[in-house]
Amino acid sequence: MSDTLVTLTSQEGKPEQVPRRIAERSTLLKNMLEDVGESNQPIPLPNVSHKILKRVLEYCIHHKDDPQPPSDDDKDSFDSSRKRSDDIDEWDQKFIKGKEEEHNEELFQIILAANYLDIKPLLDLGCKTVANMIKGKSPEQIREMFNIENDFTPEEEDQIRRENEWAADA
Amino acid sequence: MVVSWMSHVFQILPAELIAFIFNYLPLRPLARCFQTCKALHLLSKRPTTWRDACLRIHPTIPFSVMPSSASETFWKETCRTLIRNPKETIFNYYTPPLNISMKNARLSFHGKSLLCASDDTYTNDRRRHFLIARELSDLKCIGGSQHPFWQQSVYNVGQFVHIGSKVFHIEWNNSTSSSARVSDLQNPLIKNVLGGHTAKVFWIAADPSRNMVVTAGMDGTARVWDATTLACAHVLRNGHVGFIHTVAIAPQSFIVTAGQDRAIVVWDPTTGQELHTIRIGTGDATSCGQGSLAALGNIVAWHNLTSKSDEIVCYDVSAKKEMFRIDISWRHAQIPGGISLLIRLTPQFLFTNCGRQRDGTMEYLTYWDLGTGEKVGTLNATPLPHWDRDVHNAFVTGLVVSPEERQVIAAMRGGLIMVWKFDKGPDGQREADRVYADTNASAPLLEDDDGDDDDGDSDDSDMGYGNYGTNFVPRGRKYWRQG
Repeated sequence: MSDTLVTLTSQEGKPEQVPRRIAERSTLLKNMLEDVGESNQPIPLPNVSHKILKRVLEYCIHHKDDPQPPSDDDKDSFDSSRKRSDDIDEWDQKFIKGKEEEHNEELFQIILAANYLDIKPLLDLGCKTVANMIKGKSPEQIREMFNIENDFTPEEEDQIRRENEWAADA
Repeated sequence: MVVSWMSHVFQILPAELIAFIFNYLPLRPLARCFQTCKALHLLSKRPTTWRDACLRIHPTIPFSVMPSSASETFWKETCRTLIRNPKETIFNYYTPPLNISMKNARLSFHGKSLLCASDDTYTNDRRRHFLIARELSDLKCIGGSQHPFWQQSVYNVGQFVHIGSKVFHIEWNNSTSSSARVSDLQNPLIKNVLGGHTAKVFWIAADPSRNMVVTAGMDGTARVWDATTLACAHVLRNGHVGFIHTVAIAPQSFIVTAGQDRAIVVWDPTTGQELHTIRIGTGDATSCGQGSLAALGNIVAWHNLTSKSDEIVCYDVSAKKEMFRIDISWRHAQIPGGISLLIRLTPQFLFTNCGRQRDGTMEYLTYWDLGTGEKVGTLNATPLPHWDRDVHNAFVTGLVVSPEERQVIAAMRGGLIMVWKFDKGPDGQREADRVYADTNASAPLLEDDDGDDDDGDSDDSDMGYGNYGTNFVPRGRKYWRQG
């Protein structure tokens, strides 16, 4: 049963066939497939572009044998263990890096897709990567990296800097 | 909620996902993010942003007791408080109802359970007791003065200790008489008297690792009890002239008493014989107050207060010589309210509640290295924003140190119970980590209701052990025993 193929339809309407086992890495799809039972109906994913879907599936295929993460209903409750962002394995690092030129755009799209499809490890991976990019950078460098426009007036900027000064010794 | 006014790349992500990313950021990069643009700065106005930051700094702090509707300012202030005090980690705390003043609190800690008795601000009697905590990570009142235990068993509680579910306490019948009693938390109707003392009982101490309880009192004797059978094993007599104020047990080792005669007597609990008497001189002031006598391994520590000196003396019982004296005359006069200076020993440190210094600096607890007598540091509590108690003037009235030296529990005047956790001393890895090999054994407290461990039942013997583990060797020395 787990070898049956599932058809996923991306934003653009392009179908993508994957083994059910791979699709079930996504909690959203897993629940959906369980609800529907045996069905050849394609599953529409209007929020995910074809390019990102392929990337996500690439991740799922690589991680197909990983143990399922504990299903947590407490998505909102904070995991009290210290959050680390330096424990990303090599393949994941390479994967998330993707193509240099459209790196940021794609990274954020993957985070969104992982959130939508409910693939917790991929979401973690994406968020850790962004966090690692932010670490050790000045506000100016962060703006540059993410293409953020500085919309503060100089006075505001000064005030906010002072407001956050205490955190600098942390 | 999609924050549509976000600019550029961050525009794609809803605020929830950005918060998720922030979860991986330390405070400094986080603050820098807020400085990049208005949209991200707005996120710093979300209370949860700072709450999560607090949790990252201090994963064990019990935020469940904090107000759920707390504002962003509140959390930010908490965060600030936490980073300002990186060393003294408040592991947990508990604020009892307002009328519990903790003016004269007593704490007892065994296994993982903590009991506390305190007085009532209004009536000033100590009948208003409460119990807390099966676990230090989960401090809560699990039985107030309404708990049948207190109703049944207590007129007024003095010093008390507990081993498993058995509570050994001094009960003041009126101002002139007191006796030592045993009650069972699981079955409050069971109440026994540790009979034998012919006058008031002043102090009580326990060594759960040997299931041993010692009482001492006005009749000049101390009595050693088996905590399971409640039989009197030995009567320690003829060591003192006059009252015995206080008694302490060195776990797995000797018993020590301090009396009106300004003598400190060391006893062998296995034979009931006096081993050694330390004369602490003739003086014009009181000697060792109640609670200010402590023993561990081969060390006895006591408070020596005279008109000329205010010091803590550490004495090596096996070498029969003084180790060092700690001058505490810098502390601000006397501790208010007749509270004794409390001394507690761990394999590495000596803790006291010295209190306010002459220059007004408050020190809740001060600790010294037990090897050198050097002051190591202090434990304080920077008030968290929502505390309605006057912790600046709080004073430690009840103090226990958990055996594995990881936690220090103090009850404070003003109404607060604090648990500090410090894993390492200033020079890194502490010997204590290795000393206590097995400290996981916990005593059941109010847990099993099957009631099969009524008193006198010897098969509950496992509940009292494990407190110190069998490998207990303070400071790497052989533990002291009469040769």
